[in-house]
Amino acid sequence: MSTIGIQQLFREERFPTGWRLIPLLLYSPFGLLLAFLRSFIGFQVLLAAAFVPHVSFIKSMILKTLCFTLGIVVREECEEKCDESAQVIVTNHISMLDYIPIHLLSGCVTPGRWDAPSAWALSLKSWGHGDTLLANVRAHLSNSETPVLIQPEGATTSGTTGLLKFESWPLETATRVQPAVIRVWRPAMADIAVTVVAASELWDIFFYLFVPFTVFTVRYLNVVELHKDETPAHGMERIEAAVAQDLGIRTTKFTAKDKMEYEKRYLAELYRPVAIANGAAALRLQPTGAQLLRMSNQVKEVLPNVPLDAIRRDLARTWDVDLTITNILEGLVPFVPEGQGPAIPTRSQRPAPDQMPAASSSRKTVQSGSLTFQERKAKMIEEARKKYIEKHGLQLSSSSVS
Amino acid sequence: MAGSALRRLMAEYKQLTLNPPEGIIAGPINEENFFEWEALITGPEGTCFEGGVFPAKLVFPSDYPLSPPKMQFTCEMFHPNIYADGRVCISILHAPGDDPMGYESSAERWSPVQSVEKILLSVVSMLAEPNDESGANVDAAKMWREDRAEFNRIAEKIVRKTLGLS
Repeated sequence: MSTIGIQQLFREERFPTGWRLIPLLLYSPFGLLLAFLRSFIGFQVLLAAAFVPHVSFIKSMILKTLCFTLGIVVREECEEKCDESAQVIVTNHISMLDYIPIHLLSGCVTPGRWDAPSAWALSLKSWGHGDTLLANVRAHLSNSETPVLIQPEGATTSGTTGLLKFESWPLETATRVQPAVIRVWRPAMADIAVTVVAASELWDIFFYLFVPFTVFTVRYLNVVELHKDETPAHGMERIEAAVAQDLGIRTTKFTAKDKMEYEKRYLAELYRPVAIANGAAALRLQPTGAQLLRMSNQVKEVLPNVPLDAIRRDLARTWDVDLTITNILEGLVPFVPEGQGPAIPTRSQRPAPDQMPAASSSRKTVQSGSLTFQERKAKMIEEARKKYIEKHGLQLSSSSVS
Repeated sequence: MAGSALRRLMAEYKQLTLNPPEGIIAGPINEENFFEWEALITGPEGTCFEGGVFPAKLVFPSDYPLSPPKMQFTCEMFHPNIYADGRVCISILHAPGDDPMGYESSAERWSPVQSVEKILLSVVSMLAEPNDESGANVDAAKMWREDRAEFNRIAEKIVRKTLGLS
């Protein structure tokens, strides 16, 4: 049904590319300062949350302060479709902080992974997994009026291509569900992805602190009610379709588990050359700068028109001269060839009587400038000729042959 | 397969550039094509080829180093183990099993553990000590055996030619 590849569901690059990087670079000093100040405030707030009394008024104050420090701005759309009698809210999953705007709007709680003393202020409930989670949510719904937010995708997507498959258990907890759609927007000068594939949560949070603000738009959809003799799975499909339609994207068959697998593969691919050079890499886990310099010079001697920084970039991944040469030759390393440099690196023309160590010879290469292979040849012949004339001259004078 | 051949050739070129054997340089003629090399070999001292710088071409097969390269001098040569067209006939350039002359021991044949450097060093020692049983150049072999003075005179002439001194 879907021709979307799993890799299309997520963003790989956190930063914009091309000219759009320029405003970001200009902004970054302010961003760093902002992140520093905000992290300071945020830390204080979280610390305070652990000790103040669990009162809803304080809770909403803490949430608002956190929103402020994280730069989260919340917009609500189609409020008229919001039915407060539906106790379960179901949304798509864009970022790890999706729940904060929903909490602010509805005062709901979320099953979360946090079990910190301040988690109560964020309305996160450590409700476990699978059946325990289901039972806990059911118990909560029967005892309390507070709605529960569930993100049935189980993992984030970019929200621009396709949805992960919704799990059906939210409809096993309640027959009426309030679907909503979350969109995220960041200003153009700091258009940084809220999350990327295989991202660490700390970095995600850092970029919340870094960008001036992040706008969450929450848009309510019509409440979905499970029909009689309709399975929860089928009902969930209807919700999924509605959410996808509102976002203008497609549903897929991929699940959160597929995403985990994909992230594993993605990371493995990212570090693939290191894995190949395993034996060698294990021996030099912490190569020094000098080593990198020596290795990059070796590659440079073989491929003189590849810029050193491109070589170093690849060497930093591979730590293997041959592997990097292969990568460059196979076009895996993007680079702009350096001008009409020498086709072939130089060597000192007459090898010293005892063999020179490689390091000193490469230094010599740098000092003496570069000679092409043709020049090296010409020089070798020239020197042999001089030597021959010298010797032959001696022979001529001594033995007077020819 | 050409990928691993290329990788191997690059590594050998790197090695030859970093630690060149005395009197030998070798490298790809054109960086675009690593399968065709040029080599310059200095005639070994104390032999009739002393002082000469002999250019040769090496052509590598795409399954190198499983198969040996072909080597051919591009200057005039007169030597028992070099054909009139410059092709070099030594055991290291022959894979075991293909033995045109039928008297080479397989120990000194081509195998992937050999290298360009070993080939070139073998050629140097071949220049120093011709194997007059090989019939690559029958005239040269015969002259080497029977009229060494004349052989030396021709060699001297070739040496001068390679230096542009004729």
